[in-house]
Amino acid sequence: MNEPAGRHVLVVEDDPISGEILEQCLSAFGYRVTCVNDGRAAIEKIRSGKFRLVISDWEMPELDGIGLCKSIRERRNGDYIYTILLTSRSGTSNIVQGLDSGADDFITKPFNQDELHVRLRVAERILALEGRDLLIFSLAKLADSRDPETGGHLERIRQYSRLLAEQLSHSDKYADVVDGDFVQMIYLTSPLHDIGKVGIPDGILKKPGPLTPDEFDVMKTHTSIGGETLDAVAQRHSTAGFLNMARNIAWSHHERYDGSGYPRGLSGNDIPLSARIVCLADVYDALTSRRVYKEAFCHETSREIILNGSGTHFDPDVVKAFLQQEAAFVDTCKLLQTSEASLLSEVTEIAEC
Amino acid sequence: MSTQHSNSQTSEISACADEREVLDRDELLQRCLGNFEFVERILDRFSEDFETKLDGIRELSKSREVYQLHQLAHQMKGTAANIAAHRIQACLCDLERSIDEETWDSLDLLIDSLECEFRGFQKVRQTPAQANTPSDPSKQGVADHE
Ligand SMILES: [Fe+2]
Repeated sequence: MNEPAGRHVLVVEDDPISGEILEQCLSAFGYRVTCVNDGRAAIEKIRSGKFRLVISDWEMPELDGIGLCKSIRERRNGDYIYTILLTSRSGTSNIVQGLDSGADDFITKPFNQDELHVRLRVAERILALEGRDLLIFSLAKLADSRDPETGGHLERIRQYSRLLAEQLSHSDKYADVVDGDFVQMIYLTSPLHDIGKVGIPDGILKKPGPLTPDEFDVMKTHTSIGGETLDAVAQRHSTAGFLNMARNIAWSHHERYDGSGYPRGLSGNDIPLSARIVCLADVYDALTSRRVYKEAFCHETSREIILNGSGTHFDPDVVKAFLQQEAAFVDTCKLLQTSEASLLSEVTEIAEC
Repeated sequence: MSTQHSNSQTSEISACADEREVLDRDELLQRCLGNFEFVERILDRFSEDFETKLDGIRELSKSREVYQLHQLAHQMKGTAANIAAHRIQACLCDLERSIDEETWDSLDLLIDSLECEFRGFQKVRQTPAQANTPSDPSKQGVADHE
């Protein structure tokens, strides 16, 4: 059965009457409820994978609420489970102990029905956000999976984009535009920049040698395919701001600051800021990665190429942010390419066994 | 308005306030989103269970089973809080403290006063419930048991 994350609640309460009152209230709010009376029974239920939201009493015989939270956080598989502790305890040390065990929120006992409702909505919103983030990355992966040479590319792109956005948020010129939400959103949506590649034929996308001018023209359409697709979705869901940013990035990440890019030949500030950022991130990653047709350039060479493109290919402000974040770029590049390389060698070893 | 009238009004108000300390039906009804039938069912269940649990407290107190005593008293306190039986809740709070401190003399007295509070609760419980109008009748609902 497909129901939104968090609509099926597991209530863990050793007192049957309190459990029943809570269950009645949750049912009236529209939740499906399952009640168990101790932490061990809760763990068994959680193993079924049906529950994303758990409300647990703190003090229970056998495994208490703290022990249950710890067990939930120790799980290595499965989705994130949002846990709310019911407690009559107050005071900082108890709150610290609860949060430290992995609880996401608290509800004081006896509960107030309105507070309970609001806290459940927060839980659902957080679980839905997690689902959204995963969906976005899965979509991006789908497009990326057809381009075998760019493994790890998406993870690096989002890290580089975040570094640049964070740097710009500290400058007076961009402080009003680039805030925490912008940084989080570019981290989330930058992996979608090449989503339009799903519409490029294999013969062109996977061609090992250089593309002919005609083939390159086809390849260029990945920007408008991605942009138009995301635009259609964004128009239907006007409240989802991340879709607008995703569209801007997909459409304009190959535009150049001097207007010589594609698909629309936009220039300067007509190119959305998010796309100007991802443009540099994308090029830096292409330069520092190995391709069939080229070895990976070292950071210094890549840096040189980017500096030469300031004001023509790239927005000079973004280049400046890149220079200020240079060390972090080098670290990210090393870290993510190393983990990718070790994963590759592991896979090769297994394959050779 | 006569003085006599306002005196009787005052005593009515204070009687209501006392009763609310024993059992705050409005609070419970709100917690149960105005579901009157459910509230009555829960109160019946509480009354039925309480005596058995009180016997349990007496037995465990005789055998000085601190851990089990604490668990039982804590659970009863939670139930009392949830059904808005505030005086019973307060008494169980003292009882729980007395168990933790292992002050056995005062524990026996507290168990007696708990029994007394329960009798008081039953009295209030049996007085006909005023027809409380739920604040939002649309919120009425019956738990969907799995
Ligand atoms: Fe691209």
